[in-house]
Amino acid sequence: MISIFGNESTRTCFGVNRREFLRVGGLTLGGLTLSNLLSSHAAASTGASVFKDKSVVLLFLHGGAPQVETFDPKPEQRENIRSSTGHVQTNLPGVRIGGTFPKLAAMADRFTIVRSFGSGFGDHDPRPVLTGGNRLRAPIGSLVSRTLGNVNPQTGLPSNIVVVPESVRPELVRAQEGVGQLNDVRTQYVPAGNLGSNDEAFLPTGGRALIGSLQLRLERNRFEDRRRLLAQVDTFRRRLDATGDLAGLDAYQRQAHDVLLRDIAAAFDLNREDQRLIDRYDTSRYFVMENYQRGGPLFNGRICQSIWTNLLGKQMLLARRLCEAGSRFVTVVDSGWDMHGNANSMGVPAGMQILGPQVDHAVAAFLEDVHQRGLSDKIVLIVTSEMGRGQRNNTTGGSEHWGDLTPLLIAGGGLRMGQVIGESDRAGQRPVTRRYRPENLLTTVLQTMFDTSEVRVNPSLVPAEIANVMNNGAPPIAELFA
Amino acid sequence: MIIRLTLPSLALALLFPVGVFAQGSGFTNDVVPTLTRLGCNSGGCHGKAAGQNGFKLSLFGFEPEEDYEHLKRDALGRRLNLTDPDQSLLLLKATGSVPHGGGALTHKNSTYYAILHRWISAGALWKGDKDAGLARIEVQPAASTIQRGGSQKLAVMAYFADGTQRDVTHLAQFKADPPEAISVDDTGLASVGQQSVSGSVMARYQDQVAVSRIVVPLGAKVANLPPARNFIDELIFKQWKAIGLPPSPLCDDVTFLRRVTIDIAGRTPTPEEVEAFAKAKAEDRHEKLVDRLLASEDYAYYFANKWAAVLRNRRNSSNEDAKGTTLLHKWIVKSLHENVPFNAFVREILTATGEEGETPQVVWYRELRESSGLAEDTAQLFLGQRVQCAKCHHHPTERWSQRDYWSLTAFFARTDVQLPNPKSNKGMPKAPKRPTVVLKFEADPITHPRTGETLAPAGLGAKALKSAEEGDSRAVLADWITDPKNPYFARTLANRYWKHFMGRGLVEPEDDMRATNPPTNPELLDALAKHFIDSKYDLKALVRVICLSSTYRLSCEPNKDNAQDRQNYARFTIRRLPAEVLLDAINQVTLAKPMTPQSRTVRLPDNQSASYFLKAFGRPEAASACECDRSSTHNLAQMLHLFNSTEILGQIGDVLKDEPPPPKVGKQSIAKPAPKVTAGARILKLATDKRAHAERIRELYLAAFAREPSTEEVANLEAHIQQRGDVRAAYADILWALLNSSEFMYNH
Repeated sequence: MISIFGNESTRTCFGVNRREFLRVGGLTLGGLTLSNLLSSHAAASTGASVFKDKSVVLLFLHGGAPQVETFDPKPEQRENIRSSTGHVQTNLPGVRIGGTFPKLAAMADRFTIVRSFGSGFGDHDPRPVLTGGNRLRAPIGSLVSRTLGNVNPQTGLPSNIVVVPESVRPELVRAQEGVGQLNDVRTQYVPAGNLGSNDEAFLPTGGRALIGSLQLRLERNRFEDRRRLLAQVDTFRRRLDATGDLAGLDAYQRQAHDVLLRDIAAAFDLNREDQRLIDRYDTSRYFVMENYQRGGPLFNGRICQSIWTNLLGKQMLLARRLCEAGSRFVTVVDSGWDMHGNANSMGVPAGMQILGPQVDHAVAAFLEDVHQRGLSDKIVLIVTSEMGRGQRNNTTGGSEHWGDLTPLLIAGGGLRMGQVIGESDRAGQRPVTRRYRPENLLTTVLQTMFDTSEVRVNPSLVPAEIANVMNNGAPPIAELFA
Repeated sequence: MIIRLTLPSLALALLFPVGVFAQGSGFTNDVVPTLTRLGCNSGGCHGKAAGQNGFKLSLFGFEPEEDYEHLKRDALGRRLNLTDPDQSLLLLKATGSVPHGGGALTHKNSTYYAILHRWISAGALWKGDKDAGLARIEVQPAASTIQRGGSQKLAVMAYFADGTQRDVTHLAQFKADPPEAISVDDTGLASVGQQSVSGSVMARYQDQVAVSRIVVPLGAKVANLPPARNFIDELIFKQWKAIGLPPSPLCDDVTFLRRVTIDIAGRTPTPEEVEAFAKAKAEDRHEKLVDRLLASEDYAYYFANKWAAVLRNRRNSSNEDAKGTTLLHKWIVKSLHENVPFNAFVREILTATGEEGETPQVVWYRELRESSGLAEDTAQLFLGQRVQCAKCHHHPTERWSQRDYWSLTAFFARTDVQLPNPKSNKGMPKAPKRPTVVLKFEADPITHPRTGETLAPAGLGAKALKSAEEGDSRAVLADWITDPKNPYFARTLANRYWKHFMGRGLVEPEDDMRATNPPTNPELLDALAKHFIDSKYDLKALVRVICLSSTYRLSCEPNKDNAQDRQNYARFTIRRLPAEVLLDAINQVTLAKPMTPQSRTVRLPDNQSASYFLKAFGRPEAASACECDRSSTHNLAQMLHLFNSTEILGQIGDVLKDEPPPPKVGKQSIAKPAPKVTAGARILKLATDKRAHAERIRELYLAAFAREPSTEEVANLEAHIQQRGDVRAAYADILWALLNSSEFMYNH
């Protein structure tokens, strides 16, 4: 009976799954209570045997972060090529990074930079990078969710979470224009492509009220009785089974059920952290975000700035907390990195001066914290963007979308750190060594999180569509595994 | 020497008429489109602002003059070799004969090579005889029906200003939508899969775009159609017959009552309304019902809620905005209640002048401030055109250029939005007490950002005004927008309202009516727009005609053929209740607060009341002109809230352990303890009611589902009460199950 809730049935449409649920749930066959069945739903996710017990934090700089300004500063080149924010020497001999990243420079042995990575895509859509072009059109987080179940069977944490500024400041209201606003996150980061609602990312934005609703307020038996009663009452749902119209409702009610049987509220509550640690992560001092929002004195009609926030530090702290509590893939979105130097956005020098230091501080605090907790090998941090940027225009300081090179930093996870992988041309516009693409990043992540060589031999260890992705992938970024 | 004819070039030679090869090449009409087709001028290559390795082209070839300069004169003229065209750097690079970062894009035997070669041989002229200006393009056939698994060859015809026309299929670019159901290759061959779908293929040539609509029929037998009640049914039935898609039967009367009450009045029907309508026998009971709902204040408030959000009627952090926000909401409610013609409604917004206390439409200006933002919202709200991209560049899938964008903006060039905030007005004349719109003495000059030319106001695709100096050009903008001949205004509104009632726009998303996003039923959209114009922009008449069609009255339950239909309205499209309506509906079931019309969430003037429920269920922040600001999907937070929040459980009468107090750690104490939630009146009533359980259950079903329970449903719940023993606890269980059921949460 356990297979009912395993991947075999989730692979068919939700309708079939649900009918089975009703049949079995309603009859409690041979002493198998609804409670047994529902908890086995989470445990029966088949990917557990090849899982290496690692979590990923993906920091996404939405808008197109400039590769030269971040980790490939080209100090020897002429003015409009080299980093406009200068460079700093790292603690690795001969390795320099962009001038707004002094804190990261001091810990360059704890991460690896890839200078030959390009998203291969030149527009404001994160999905080419998030999915690595897999045929399911599913972001990596959703693939992980499908492999391990959408809820961690041990702790009850949703496997796949997207952290936005609103996750750490629920009362924040930002413009709905600009690159990477909340609605973009809902439509581009959350959906699971062909995998459907079941593996969509959880987008926590509710603060205290959300945390409150995560603690089961009823006696457990009573709650499960009610679920059974609901299945009985909701005859309408059965009549629409063939349409799939209610697949989203079904998927989320099942996930809510799984989540509520655990006490996971604490994971979302930043206030349980030591205040000194919160202060160490805090990035609110780097700029006053209200100044750039619509109506602020520095808004000036440039909508890309209207969604900047100075909350990245707390977002990173929340991401670490969630990983520690058992979430497997946390995507942190920092928005407004478009820098055309036009009516909608600032040029690169001005934009970097404001956004760069916040990333430097937040990522450094994260790496230090993870290191001190001894979690460096358990948590992989990836910092990237949907694309990079072309050469700067001398007059405006702006630069255009550029898919041939994209910033990429990877830290932890037991991968080989302290390297610079690949090299770009003099202009910092194309790789001159082997180019890496999102498909290579996808394989790298999957190979870090799962024993993919085992899946090659025995594809049935993971859901078939996942085996298909794992076994037909591009090569990984080899240097990380050397 | 053996010429290797590769398959693609062979295909090209076979597919394109010989005439293509015989003609000369014009720069704008052949050479630039060739560079576009080969990808030379894409944003990732030479098309980016800085060019690539010293060679710069305009993005997607939108500025041929610049391209000509760069090709002909830059790099000391090495790019073109007029005496030996084959040695032109342009051709050597394109074929990869010399190292080229972009690789070999074509080869010597290709059509594209021939085009470039011919042009160079003929002297590389700027204006050749083939360079008449492009007027428009067409994809032929403009619409086609392709059987499942089949394909259709498309051709692109270009029509020029000199009256000539040409097949430019080989120079066009294609894009299919939806890409998972339709594919198209470089030669214009569209192929479809096994899915029945209505979609399109877009073609682009120079700065023009056109589409060909593609329908992949299902091919089932269509019989037992409901009666055609008006033009909507006629046009929808026609489509079902063409596609072979049989509709579901009509829904029953109480389902219709719940459906139409939610859609028009933004609330679920009361038990009394359900009982009365179930008994009604009159032939015209549906008409009477729709008229009664339209006449009610509920209609005005519900649609005010919709319009206020996209008109950005929001209170920002300060309470200073409250007055204007409340007044604007009041004005919208009154206009809708009195059924002010929509053209007049729009005109009042567009031409608002004065202080927000007297002219509340000024709130829209207060929120947008800049002329460019005002132009963008005007285009999206009233014309269904998203022009934002054109602020900085011509967008490849849009018609609109930077000139169009800034010419539209020029209508607002004299609009001065003055705000009371003294900080932002340093050194300026004294700021007004309340947000105010005044006309500047002289218009700010609006210039084309690239050419620097001063632009006069002009509607999208319309002629520019002679002068921006006289009077308020916004009045002229309002004239142009609300003119019956305006191609966008009536269609946009008709589509917006159609989506409200039918769950899916004829064009999706409903405010993205660009040329390359065609409607699934163009005849119907035209007919709805015509009806709206003929009725003198009567919103209630539009609602009436939609709600009284048989199409609106279909059951949502599938038959054996239409379960997968999402595009043709062969069954009613169910949707989750909007956040505010759902909250009110829950209250009607639990009776947690007195149910008066005034207490309904739907009637709130703006986003002021901070409600976690409304946020989780996707109430818009009113920070955008886009309807997409409202989310109608599900998420985990919603389910957790309905399953398990203090708010919901408290209302239905669960006795809860105290919530753990918020942790004290940290300087910022974030939250007060959650307020105690008292049980709603419903549970108290149910627990003490002396009537039989069957009676009590019936009352609950009327309140929650707006229908009678079946005998089986009553029996099941009676059994539950029996089993639980504790009556109050048993009813709390039942309330919980009803509120979490799909039948309750959806309009169906």
